[in-house]
Amino acid sequence: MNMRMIAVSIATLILGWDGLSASQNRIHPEFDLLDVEGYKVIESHNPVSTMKTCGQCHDTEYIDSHSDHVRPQQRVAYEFESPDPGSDVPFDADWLKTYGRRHVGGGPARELGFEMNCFLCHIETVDREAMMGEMRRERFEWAVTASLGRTGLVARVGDSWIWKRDALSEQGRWPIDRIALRGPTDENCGACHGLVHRGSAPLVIPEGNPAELTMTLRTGSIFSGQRINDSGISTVSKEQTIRPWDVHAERVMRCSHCHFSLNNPAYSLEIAATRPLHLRFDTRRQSFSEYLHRPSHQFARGRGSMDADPSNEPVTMRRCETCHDAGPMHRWLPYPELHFQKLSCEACHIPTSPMAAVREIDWTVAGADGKGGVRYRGIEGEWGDPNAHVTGFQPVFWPRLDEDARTRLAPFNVVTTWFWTAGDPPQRVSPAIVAAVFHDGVACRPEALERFDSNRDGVLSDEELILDTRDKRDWVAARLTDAGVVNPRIEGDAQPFGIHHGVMRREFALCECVSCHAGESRLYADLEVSPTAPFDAEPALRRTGGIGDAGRIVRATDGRWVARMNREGDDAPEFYVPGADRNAAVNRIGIGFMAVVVFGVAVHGSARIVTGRRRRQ
Amino acid sequence: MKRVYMYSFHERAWHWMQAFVILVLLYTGLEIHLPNRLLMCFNLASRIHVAFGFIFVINAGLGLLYHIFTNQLRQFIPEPRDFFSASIRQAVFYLGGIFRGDPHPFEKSPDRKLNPLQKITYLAILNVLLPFQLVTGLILMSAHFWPSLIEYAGGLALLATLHTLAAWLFGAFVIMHVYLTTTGHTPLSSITAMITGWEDVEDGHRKN
Repeated sequence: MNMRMIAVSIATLILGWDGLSASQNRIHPEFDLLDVEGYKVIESHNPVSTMKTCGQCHDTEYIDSHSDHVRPQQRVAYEFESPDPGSDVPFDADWLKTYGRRHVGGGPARELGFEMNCFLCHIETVDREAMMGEMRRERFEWAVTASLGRTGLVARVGDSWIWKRDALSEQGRWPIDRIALRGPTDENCGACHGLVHRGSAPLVIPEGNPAELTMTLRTGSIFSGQRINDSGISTVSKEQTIRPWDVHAERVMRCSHCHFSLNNPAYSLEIAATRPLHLRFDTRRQSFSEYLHRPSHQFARGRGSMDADPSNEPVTMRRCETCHDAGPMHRWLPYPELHFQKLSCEACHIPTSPMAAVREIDWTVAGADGKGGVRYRGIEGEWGDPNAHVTGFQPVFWPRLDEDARTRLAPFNVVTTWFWTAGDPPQRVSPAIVAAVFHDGVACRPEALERFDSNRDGVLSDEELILDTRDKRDWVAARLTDAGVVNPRIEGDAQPFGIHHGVMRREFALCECVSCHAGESRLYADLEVSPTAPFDAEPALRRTGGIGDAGRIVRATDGRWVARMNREGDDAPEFYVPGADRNAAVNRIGIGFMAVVVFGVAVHGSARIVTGRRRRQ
Repeated sequence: MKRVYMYSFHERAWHWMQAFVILVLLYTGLEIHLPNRLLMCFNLASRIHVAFGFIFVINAGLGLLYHIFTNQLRQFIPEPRDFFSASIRQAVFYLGGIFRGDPHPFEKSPDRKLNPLQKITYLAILNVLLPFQLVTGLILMSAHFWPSLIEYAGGLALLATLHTLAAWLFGAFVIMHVYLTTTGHTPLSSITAMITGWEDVEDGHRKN
């Protein structure tokens, strides 16, 4: 162990890395910025190499090799915004040019020159647009350098970047006293994963790209401790809604508290799958210096909503009950253990989403931007419009298989993607081909306007771009056939997303028995999946995230597609909610028996009265 | 007619206590079964149902002990001799004789308070329906402490359904029971007897 590591270890132990990680960590030493050859960039004028620069102290080869953030499998998350057919989008330059804004680099991207961009998560001001600009120009090796554009360390000159000597320290190193390096903050996580907000400035809906389908768009979750009535979002009963968007954020918890590095000694908890059977708690753990040398960048994760086979990805995150003792706080609750066995914590502590979320992404049509239409639930108005009124939504509650092999009801949002497929096996038709049906590259095609522009304003709005009639569907299918698409047909892919953020503390959690124990139980309430599905198309539910056969997408009597809990048949889950579930046959038998008795009593009694009067007469 | 001290204080207290408890259980059970349609909230109904379930069990146990130690239990046991024909006579009375004003086929006395049909009914109620309802109710109640027990017993859906079915039968029994109290010497004589302990019964002019 060299002297630098010893110094870092001692300082870390004294001050605590965790307490510093979100603040300005001035104990991080200054360091040279090196290029891929190991030369100082200030001298070589080359792009910075994080593998070499950070690798001076940290095992960057290890960091680059193992985390979900660099693994190509993560691209499945982009399937909803895929412009190309199928989910097997090749991880190549085109992919990076399209989706690189939310990719940390490294892994397979390193072969293209885009190294794992440590700065994305370890400094405060990241210039993502500059980074994306370099990737669009296929100058991947400059992408990391460009992401430092707002630090003042580099400046764009023409098509290239130059290092600014005067911005570095006197020794020509990273000026740690001015540009702090620290552990990831919520803002770093939120840049890719969803809406995170801190501070007193009113929270507003960001414009963003709905098709990115971040956590907020998928589930309506916002990680912010700000009270809803203090936010800048118009919500239902806003003035009375004094609860925060998320209680954990309100209590100053950070993303990394739950999604911690798996070998962080402060948090490490060996999962049951790998822990020796005879040990409840293993005191042995690596030192802070070892951790800082090889910090795992595989973060604790829960059950992924898109995990088809839960056994493939171990759940490493602590669950609610790992930190919370539910018993003392639920003494008011009858049958607490039974409730804990049947209900996830989220069922009562996230009973509704005060925020809107995506409902449908419709790739069967194309707007002027060539992208499919995005429709939301829980909002009146456009996403990102400060005047939009957010009504929120009530999720569907489906049984979810948990890690303890118990099935509990948990809240889900369902996002349905409609798309054209062709061939056998079916492959998704590229949205570019679909876009060409509606636009000629300059303006809307007159034939499309004729069929879709119902208000005749010469523009196809999202409300008008719906294949809600046979005529519209057949017309698009014919145009696709003309474009060489074989046997085009529409498929719907309904993806459930578990809702785990936006937790309410107990004062605001669901605690009225009749919310669930009633004929109109919220546990069995429908969630609208698609009121305007493409003509004659049916959504198919992905059975991912542990929902098994419990979830169903069915057509309601009014024609809408809705998400509903399967309560009938042999494959229905074993759930019985007193007050909501009733055995109709037993009730018929019971009521019938009572009716016979009452009828018999009435007849017998009447006869006694009549015969008694006759006898007295 | 003669006036007989038919029911002791303990019997009457036990009876009315049990009647009150059963009515509360039926009402609160209905509230749990069909929430938001009656007067009580689900939570309160659930708590009262559980509390009165315990009272029901204790009262049933006390009643059993009382009838054992006072040798009154034999009153509930059908006498094999002539039981079938006696039951037929009682049924024929209810179906015909009662309308003609015929005397009851069986004389009621402190030592023989139940006619053959009552005996067979109470035999079913006390030995089948009541224990069944107690057991299913206790298992459902045990979910407060041992939720796994419900799964061993077949699951909440099965237990709750069976408990509901038995409750319907209890409800029907209560209606029938109340009606049959009006078939005494006068419509209110049996109920009055269960309140005061004294009942006017017909003289022993016939053989039971």
